[in-house]
Amino acid sequence: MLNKLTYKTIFLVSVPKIHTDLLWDLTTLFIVLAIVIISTVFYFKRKLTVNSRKTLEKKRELSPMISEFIFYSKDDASKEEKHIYIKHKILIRELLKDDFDRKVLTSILLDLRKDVTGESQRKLIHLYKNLGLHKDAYKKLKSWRWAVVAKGIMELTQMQVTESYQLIVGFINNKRSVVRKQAEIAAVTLKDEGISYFMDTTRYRISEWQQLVLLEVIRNNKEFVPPLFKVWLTSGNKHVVLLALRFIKHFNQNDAKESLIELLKHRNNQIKEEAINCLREFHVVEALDTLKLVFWRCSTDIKIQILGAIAELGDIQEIEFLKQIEHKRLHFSVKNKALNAINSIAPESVMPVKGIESTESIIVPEDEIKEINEKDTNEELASEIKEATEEPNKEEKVAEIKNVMEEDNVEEYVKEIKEVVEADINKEKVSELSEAKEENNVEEKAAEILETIEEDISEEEVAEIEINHYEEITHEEKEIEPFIVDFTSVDDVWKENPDTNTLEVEFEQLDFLPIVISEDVKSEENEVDVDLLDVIYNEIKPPIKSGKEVEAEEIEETTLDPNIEDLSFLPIVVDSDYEDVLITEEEQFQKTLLEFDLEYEEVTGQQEKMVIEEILEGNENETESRLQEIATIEVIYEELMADEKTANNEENCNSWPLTEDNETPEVETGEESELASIISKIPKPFEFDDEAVELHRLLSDIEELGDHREIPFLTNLLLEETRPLIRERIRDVIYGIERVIDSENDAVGYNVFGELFKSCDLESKLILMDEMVSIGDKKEVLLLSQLVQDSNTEISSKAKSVLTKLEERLAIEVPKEKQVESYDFANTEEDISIQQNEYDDLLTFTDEFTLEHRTNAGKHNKTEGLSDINMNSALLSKLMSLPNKLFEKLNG
Amino acid sequence: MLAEDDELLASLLNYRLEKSGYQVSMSYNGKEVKDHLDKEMPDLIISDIMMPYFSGLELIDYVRNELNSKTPIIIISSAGNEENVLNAFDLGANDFISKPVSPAELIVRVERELAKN
Repeated sequence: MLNKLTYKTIFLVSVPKIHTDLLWDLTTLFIVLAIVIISTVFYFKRKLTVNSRKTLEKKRELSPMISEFIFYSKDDASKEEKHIYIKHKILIRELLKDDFDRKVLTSILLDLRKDVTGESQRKLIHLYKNLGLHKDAYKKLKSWRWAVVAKGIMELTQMQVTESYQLIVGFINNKRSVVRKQAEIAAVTLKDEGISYFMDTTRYRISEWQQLVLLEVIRNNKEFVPPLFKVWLTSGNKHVVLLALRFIKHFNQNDAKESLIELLKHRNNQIKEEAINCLREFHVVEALDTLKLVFWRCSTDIKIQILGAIAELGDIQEIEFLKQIEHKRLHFSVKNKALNAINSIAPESVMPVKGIESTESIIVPEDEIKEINEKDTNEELASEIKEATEEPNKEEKVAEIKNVMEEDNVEEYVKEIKEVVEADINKEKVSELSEAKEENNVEEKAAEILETIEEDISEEEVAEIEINHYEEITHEEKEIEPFIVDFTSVDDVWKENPDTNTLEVEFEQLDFLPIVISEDVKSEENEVDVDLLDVIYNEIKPPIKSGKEVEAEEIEETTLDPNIEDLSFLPIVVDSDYEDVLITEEEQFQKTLLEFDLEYEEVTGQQEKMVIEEILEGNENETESRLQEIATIEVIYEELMADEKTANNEENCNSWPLTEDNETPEVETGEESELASIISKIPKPFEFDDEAVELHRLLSDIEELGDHREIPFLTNLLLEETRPLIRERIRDVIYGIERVIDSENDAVGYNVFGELFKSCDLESKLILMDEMVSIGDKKEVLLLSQLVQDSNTEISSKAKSVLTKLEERLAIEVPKEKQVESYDFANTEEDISIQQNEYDDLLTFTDEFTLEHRTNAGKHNKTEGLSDINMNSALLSKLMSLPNKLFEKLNG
Repeated sequence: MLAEDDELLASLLNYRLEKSGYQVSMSYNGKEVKDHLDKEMPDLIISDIMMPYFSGLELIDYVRNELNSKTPIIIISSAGNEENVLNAFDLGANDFISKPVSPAELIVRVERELAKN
């Protein structure tokens, strides 16, 4: 079909080969779809328009009514007004029955709430509550549509329905942000504590806009008493911390300085920034150290903020830190901010350097200098310089010079000029000195020169004025010229004029210079003739001693103090040669003892040896006496049937400790005969066979889990058992079970009614007795029989009647209980039954006993089959399951 | 005359003014106000600044410059709209009241303006 085209294909124009009919079909489909969509849109638009028109009409109809309610006053109202008011009241009650009218009423009130204030607003809110429109808002809160919920919250908030606070705060952590935000605003608006609750519980992000809205809400609430927002600085929600910081700043709560300083270390930049703002606001100078500390790890923006804070809070001490920043590899804006901060702390301390042209290339035009030279303006310049050096204008000039220097970078000029000046000055000074020498006034001249040097050094800055005009200055004017003193020139003068030795320059003012002594002088000082030194000799003679004294001294030197106790902390070290000579049998023993002690604490001597011997003897005597005591114990011997097979069985736990394999090897001593006698006095071990062991296990299980139902079995077992130990064991088990039964009976015997009767009044007693008829049992019969004899006739008569009723009831119930008990017993017997032959086997503890779960009427007799199964495994598994079954039986 | 585009508020204020003994003619847009003023000049005009067709400022200008009337004009404006209020006073408005409106306050201002004239 598709191949059959109804239109011609155009050459070189590639169009899809689609059949025309299909195209028509598609066109029709799209047209239909378009019509449907357009009609739907129009339908809904029409509906909305009609609805809004209807609403508007309703509003127009209702608004005078609402105005009537708002501005109605009982005192001022005339009769007619009162009549209208009542009429409207009736009408509005009718309107409230309709949902649409209620919606319109709500919207009118909400609109007017925004437009009016004061008393009118209060009346409006009161009207809203009176008409019960807030109940519609409550219904909205339960809606599954988040928009409706948000609308409901907003409605309740605007109408200040404080009763809804508890309902609304539940939405603070709603997953829908719109609902959440509306709930936050509501919580803050409706109650003062709402802000605290919100900040305590919110888990979500609080947007910047929301924070502003909340701040606005709080600001508009004139009666709002702000809580101490510092408590939320420790919140786990960073947005809460941020909001708290903003509130702290807004409400000027400057009592959280430490927390604010700590928040400078926060990872979040926003919090850090806000903390800095707070610190700046409160002028917390204590934060400077932390600011400087955290600076290096912050982002560029925060660094700028920190520098701003330092500029505001800091003093001159911070300049060093700020200069440090200037030299680090940081963002240029940070460096700029650091320079700004320096200038903020110390104004004009940093000068602009960027874009400042170098003055090196600036040359003073030669023509002007020549002209000046030709015109002999030196005198004028000299006068200017003099003026500059004068005290009143000195500072100004210096400042000017500084500016010139900074602007023109004249350092190199200064150097050049100084060199020239120095050369000239030296020459001049030398000439002056030579003249002075001629005039024999060298001392005075030297003093004068020194004074001029000092003055010139102090006026060094001023001297730089002449930098640009140096060439214009004549030699006559050099008195006020700056120059740098070179003391070598003075030395040269002395060298050239050795007669000037008499020159005594006052060095008092040069005492800051180090004293330098030439090497020649040093060598001269060190060359001292030792032979010429005066020496006083003292003659020392050794004292004369006798031969005995000398011997005594030698002994003191060679021998040690024999008191070993003083040296007891030292180990004894014996020379091997000496050992070889002195070892005897006795000494060998002593030596071993000594060596033994050396390992632990101290060296022992002969006394220690004696002590050890005494202890050993004492132990021997003690063991002998104990053995004698054991021998005196009366022992009842019982013969046990023990064959070789069972004796060697590894599972025979009772005999295990005394089997030959497990015995400790006998220590051969010289007292074998004594040992033999001791062993003969020890009673022989009991040797149980497998059967006895299994029986013991069974008895243990019964003791642990059994109850009164095991007593017949145990009694039979006791009758048949011949072995005294097992009989004793069975008796113990029976006794244990009986004791448990007794205790249970004691517990059952507790009478609730009896206890209640002790503490209640007459009326209560009578009521309780009535209750006994329906719920009482045998215990109550006893109690009632006692109450029959009560002194109070009312009680005794009541007890009598109750007793008869109870006995009648119990008489009826007893047969039922018996049936139930018999049924229970039957069941228990069914649950676990042991066949008689098997039971016999169990008693004899052969391997051929089985436990069987038997159902009614002997549906399955498994014993037949079980007898053919591997009996060993069956026995083990049955024994293992026995305690469980017993436990199940106990639990019914 | 009360010129206010919000019908609900207009109705409320109208009710309050009438209750205070004033005869009120209402207009919901600038065009209506102009037509009304062409026909009859009221004793006092209460006008919202933001109105369709003809704003409150234009109305003041029209009254003062076109009609050359010294009828007292009280302007109702939203809070924070300082520029408009200043313009209104420049053009010749006599008083100003901000939204949300307190009807009681409006009555006091109306009384005062009428007393002046």
